[in-house]
Amino acid sequence: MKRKREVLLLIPSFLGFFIFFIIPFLYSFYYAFTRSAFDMTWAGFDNFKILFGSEYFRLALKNTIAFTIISVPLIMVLSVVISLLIVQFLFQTPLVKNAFFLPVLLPSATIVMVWQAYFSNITPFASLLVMFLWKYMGLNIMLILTALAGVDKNMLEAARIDGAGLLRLTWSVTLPNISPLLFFTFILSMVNSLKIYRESYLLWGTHPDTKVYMLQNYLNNHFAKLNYQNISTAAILFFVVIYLIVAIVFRLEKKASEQIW
Amino acid sequence: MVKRRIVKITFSVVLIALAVVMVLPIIFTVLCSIGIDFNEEITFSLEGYIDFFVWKPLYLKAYLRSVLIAGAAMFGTLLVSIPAAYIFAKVPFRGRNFLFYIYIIVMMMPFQVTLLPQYIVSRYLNIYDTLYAMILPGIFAPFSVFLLTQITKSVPGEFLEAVRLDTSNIFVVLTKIVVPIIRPGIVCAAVLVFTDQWNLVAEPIVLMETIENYPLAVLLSSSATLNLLGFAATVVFMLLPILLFGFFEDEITEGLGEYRLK
Repeated sequence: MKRKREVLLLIPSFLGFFIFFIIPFLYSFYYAFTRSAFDMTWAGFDNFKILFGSEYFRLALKNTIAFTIISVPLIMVLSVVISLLIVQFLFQTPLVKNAFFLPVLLPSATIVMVWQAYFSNITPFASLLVMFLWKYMGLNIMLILTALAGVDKNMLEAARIDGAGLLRLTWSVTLPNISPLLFFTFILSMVNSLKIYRESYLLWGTHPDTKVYMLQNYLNNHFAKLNYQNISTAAILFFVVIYLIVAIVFRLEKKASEQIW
Repeated sequence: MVKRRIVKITFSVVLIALAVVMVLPIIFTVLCSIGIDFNEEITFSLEGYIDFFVWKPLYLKAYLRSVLIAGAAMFGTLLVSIPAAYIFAKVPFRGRNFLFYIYIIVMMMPFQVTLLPQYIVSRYLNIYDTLYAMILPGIFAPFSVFLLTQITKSVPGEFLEAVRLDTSNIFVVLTKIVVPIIRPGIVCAAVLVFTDQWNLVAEPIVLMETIENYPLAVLLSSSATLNLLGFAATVVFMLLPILLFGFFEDEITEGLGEYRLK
């Protein structure tokens, strides 16, 4: 079968991915079960006990979950709505689309400076949330616009002839059609919600307000101390949680796109 | 009809207002770069730009390195990711979902987790403190494989099957059929990969030690750069990705025009 051989096309990508990402990833699994950087003996699950015993870790975990649960759905809804509105009302005004994309290009130091000059009196949690939306919404809008540009026009036309209204058309034709890219946008938003740490660090240093002490602060403080066992152990927990989320959302995406194809 | 107009105008105004909010800090940066700072007295000056292009070669060299790193990573990643994405999206094989999950999960890992082992690997491969230490991981990063797979999924299956009856050469299928269909997606991926590499700060610091090897983003990331030169460098820093974004915009405009609901 010729088809079988096609899988070989995966090899260039996978080989590099294996060397530069999987091996480092496996390394960190190994670290999680050793005593310390200087004493690489088997530690069993001691590192996990230490991690969960840490008050800072529990605080970071709690804050990160709170931030993700609020910020990710918010940015998803806003990005989808704004994208649809741009296409509907302003698609011939190129500057508008550009405007949303620009913030992601500003270095964090500049963002933080503008922030300190004009918005320093709102709460830390709200600050991070607004900065997150402001900085990353453009990326999402860009991805959603790409998906919208590729929607099958015949399908839209057919639904329109069947008498579907604008909302109905969006809900039952457009959104299922772009669900693979919505899935990607969702995952990317989760990644980016963790990256807001860079701004947090420049604003408040290594120990910010307890409301915004996130996993990345925790990881970074231990990274600076070269406490690798701690980071790796946290990474494994990360892995388990992320695997579950990805598996669930992936199923949902499949269901949504099967309605169509 | 009148009601429709009102709706259109209202939404347009809201969107434009939002867009202005998005751009304000950038305008602010541009003004700062020519000496117009609202906190202090205004002194117009192009000193920052002259420093950047003439007197401080460290910045210009860093800029060229950024172009090299982001450019190489962008082209390289498209080359390996487009075929991989096609396989993930259209050719079933055992373990496909699991492997795909691994790509996604690795993409989601915080950099603190994988950076130190990446440093060890780069030492081992003898590319530590060279541009390759940035370019190679950039090429093989899972981001573009994941994105392009999601985009390739929208290529109709029956259509591909029909094409395959005509030719059995997979490279013909890829270059003549798949790539033209997903072109907007490819351009989108290219812009995002470029921007991502362009903005990296933590990675160069760990994977390189010579300051003369650092890309521009690292030099701009500390608050010590909040002066004329720093702002001028930031403005120059933003120009190239904005230019790329223009290409992307041309690419999707036609598709969006057809999509518009009447």
